[in-house]
Amino acid sequence: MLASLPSALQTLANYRIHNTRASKEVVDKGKVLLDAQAASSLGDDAWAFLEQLTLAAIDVANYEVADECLRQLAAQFPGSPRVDVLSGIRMEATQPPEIALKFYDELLETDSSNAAIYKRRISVLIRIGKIEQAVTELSDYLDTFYTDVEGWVELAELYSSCNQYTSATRALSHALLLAPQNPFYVLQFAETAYTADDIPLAIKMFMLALDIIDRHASEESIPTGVSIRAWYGVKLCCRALSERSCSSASDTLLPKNLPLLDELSTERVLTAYSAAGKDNATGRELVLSWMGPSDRSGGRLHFVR
Amino acid sequence: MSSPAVSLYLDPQIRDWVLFPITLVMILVGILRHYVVLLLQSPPKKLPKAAIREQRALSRSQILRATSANSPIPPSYYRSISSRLHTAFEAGTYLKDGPPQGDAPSTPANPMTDPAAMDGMMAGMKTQMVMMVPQMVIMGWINFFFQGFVLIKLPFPLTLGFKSMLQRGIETHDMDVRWVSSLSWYFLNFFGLNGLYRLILGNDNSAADTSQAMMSSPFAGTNQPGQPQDYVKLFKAEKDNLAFSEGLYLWLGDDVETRLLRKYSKL
Amino acid sequence: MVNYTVGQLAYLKIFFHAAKHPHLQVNGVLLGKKVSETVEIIDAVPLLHHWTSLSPMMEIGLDLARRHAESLELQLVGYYQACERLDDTALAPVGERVASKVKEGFTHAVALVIDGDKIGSPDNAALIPYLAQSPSSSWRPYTEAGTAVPFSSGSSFSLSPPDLPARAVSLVRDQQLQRKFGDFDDHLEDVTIDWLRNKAAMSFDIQE
Repeated sequence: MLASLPSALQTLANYRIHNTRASKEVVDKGKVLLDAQAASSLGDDAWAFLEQLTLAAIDVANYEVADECLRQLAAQFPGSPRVDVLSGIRMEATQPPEIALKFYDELLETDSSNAAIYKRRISVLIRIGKIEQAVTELSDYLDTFYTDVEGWVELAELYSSCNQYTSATRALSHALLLAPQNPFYVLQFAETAYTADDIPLAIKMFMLALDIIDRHASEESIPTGVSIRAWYGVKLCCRALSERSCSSASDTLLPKNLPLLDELSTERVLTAYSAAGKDNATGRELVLSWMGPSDRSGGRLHFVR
Repeated sequence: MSSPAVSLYLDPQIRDWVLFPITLVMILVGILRHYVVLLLQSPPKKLPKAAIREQRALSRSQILRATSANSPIPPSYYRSISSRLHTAFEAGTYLKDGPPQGDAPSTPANPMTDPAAMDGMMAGMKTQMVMMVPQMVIMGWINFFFQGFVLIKLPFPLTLGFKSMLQRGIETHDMDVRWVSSLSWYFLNFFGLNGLYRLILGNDNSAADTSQAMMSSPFAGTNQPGQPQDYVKLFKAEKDNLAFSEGLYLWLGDDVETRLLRKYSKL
Repeated sequence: MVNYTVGQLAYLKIFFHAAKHPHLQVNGVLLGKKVSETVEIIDAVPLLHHWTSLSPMMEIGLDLARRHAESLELQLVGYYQACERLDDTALAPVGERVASKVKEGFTHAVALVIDGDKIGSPDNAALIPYLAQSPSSSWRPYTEAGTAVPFSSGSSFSLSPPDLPARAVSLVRDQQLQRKFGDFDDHLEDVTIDWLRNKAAMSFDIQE
């Protein structure tokens, strides 16, 4: 058991860095360390480890382990705002939500600068279904703590779940300003704009996402992962733009060279499918038939029939 | 004219009982000062939410402006955010005490009445006291005990003007200025032990003589902690910046299709 | 009033999809056909577990699923979803839209919402059916005439075979089959993932 201690510690440290939610594994490995009182051997990392174990234990409903960790943390850091947040989460797990909300309110009265507590309040509100109130409080929170990108993305998803797609794009625009090089936010903006029926804006943003993702791409490269999504999006928009007249709530102009874009996006998606090999890419024939008659590129396509 | 060849022979006991003890005492007092300041320091006062909002309001427009020439957001969105910030700065919505009422003149926060700034000033004064008191005590101690004899010979020559300061207590007329009293050794230590403190206590210590560093850089003094910032003026300045950036604004999406088509040799 | 039966393939796929992403909202479409007065829900095609409120990939997935159904000589007969929260059993706005679209092509379309509280117990189907009068009207949970609960004996909704929930629970618990399951979102990241048939996850002894 002792030999696996360093490897267990390494895995746990890895999870912390990547923010993975592998709660069951964390509890399994962490419980061993906790029982062996080996936490102190970690030095400064001990407290981060205890925090991680607390959260994982609550996630799998192992409240004994969680309480033990909380006890140790509270003894070391009395009155710490970070420990307060953990106590709140523990309370949320077993107490009715109103009690947790009251606890958070009391904490905020003494210290109104604790950003993490505001976010816990909002997540409790979302959990009990009070979406409108959650949206109001989240907007208020972001008015002060503007640079919280995840907060803006969460706000956008809340708006999306309530059918308010234009408000969602507005929230995402702040996320874009804060993290202009992140293609996922651009992609989310594009899909949200499409759902809001602003097709010209959507196609522009799909292309912008590709601009970032495929910075060094060329004819020979094979689209993978996120870029397949984006190319599908471009194709879908091209089709919509050619089938009906689309207006843009944001007054975005139509892109030039739409037919060429149609051709290019078809080509790119099909390249991805043919690169995987004839038998591996499932549903290829369906995709081919979906691409339909707008597939005019004939000999210029790079795929294998 | 003092004879250049005269060389004084000093009792080695002077070295053992004066030179080293003064240095040792100063080092120890310096370290003591560092820890006392640490203990005296109260944890940074938590700002209320309204104050945080006020502090960070400027960064909102700075973030918008940072990418304005290569903006990821379309024109209508950029303009709406820009104009919303503009009106907010104009009306003073982000000020922590709320927008100025009616035509009350907007005065910068008076340090006497603003409790947060007051705390900052008190903390600064406390640190000053801790620095000053030991210095006075040591100077008095040296003057009392180690007066009336020369301690060391400076390796570099000085002009006669320094005689009165460096040879205080020794009423000679002709002695070379290079022979100095213990008080000047004290001053030498005072200015020179910074390096040693940095070695022992790390870079961020409170024993080092920061006032000297402040004097050397003319810009350092303007940004002392506890000085109230006049947000009203800052917001007004930011408004102009916003208007300027709007002129520079360009959307990355304007010709993204051309870039994309070119990349794949379609154009 | 037509009867609905949910077959093994469909139920297991819905179950695996929800089990694979317990923290998230998932959705997909139902494939089947109408045989005399019964709508047989034979198969299911999983769509999204990410950005489930957004429509572009859902539209593409829907289109591809429809063509796949046609290739199997089936039709799109409904929509299913699992909500993010355990106590939420409402049909999300995006679900209403998709279900209405399906209803345009198949009059007896049904939307099934997984009951987060009940799923996992071996004797409860944990599916809540929603029906609508027309493609443009709103979708309401189906209430049985009399006291029968949907998917219990005597209800218009039934599972075939009836012990499907127990079978599903044991397959997830013992064989972890949901790990081999992939939906359209997964397929978009890796085109080799077989989201339409999910043969790898369905590779156990099927007893008919």
